[in-house]
Amino acid sequence: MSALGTPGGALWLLLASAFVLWIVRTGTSRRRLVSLPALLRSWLGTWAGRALLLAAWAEAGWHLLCQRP
Amino acid sequence: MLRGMLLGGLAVAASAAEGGLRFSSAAAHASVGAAIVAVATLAALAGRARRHSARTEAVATVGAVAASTHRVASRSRLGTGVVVWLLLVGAAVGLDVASTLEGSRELPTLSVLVGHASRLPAGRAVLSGVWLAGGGWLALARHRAPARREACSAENDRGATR
Repeated sequence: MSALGTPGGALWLLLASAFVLWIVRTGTSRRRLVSLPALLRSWLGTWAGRALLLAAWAEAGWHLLCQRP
Repeated sequence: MLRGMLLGGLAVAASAAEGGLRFSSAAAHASVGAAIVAVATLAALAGRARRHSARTEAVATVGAVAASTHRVASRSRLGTGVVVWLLLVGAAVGLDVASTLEGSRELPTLSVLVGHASRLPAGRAVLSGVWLAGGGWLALARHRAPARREACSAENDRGATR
């Protein structure tokens, strides 16, 4: 995990922490703030949004599991 | 319940099998491709089975996606949640693009970082499990009704009270 010790790795860790903090904050806000599942569900309400999300999911899986070591 | 357990069991078995494959192998390509086809089919079947009319389900424009986002944002405290989500995703995409363009070891891309974990069989199995769970959720999650549907309902309510 030497890549995490680089300046870029530290930036990614910072960003990951921000994501986790915001997921927890929105998850405990009693619907006043938009949570990630709520936002995704709103996009899943249309065929275009669903297709877009599934395409992003498929591309991420192909890239991470088939193209990268 | 039974369907969920069955799908969960299949996903766990597939993840465990995926852990033993190498990223460049034909078997890995075939299994990931099969998972993509399976989830897309599941999403299409689940979408058809939803209790929305064909008219609302046929809304297939990027504008409709934006309208859905706006509708959720307008319910929240000044849309703060959506703005922060957009900033976080924008920062992640921006950092990944900058890392790709820079090509330096000091600024690794997200996939290089993930690649450190997915090189190991256990890491690859866990990554595959998370990916399959995400796909299953996207295919089967109960979505919110499109904005047009609510607008129509509100219009009908106003008509009924006249």
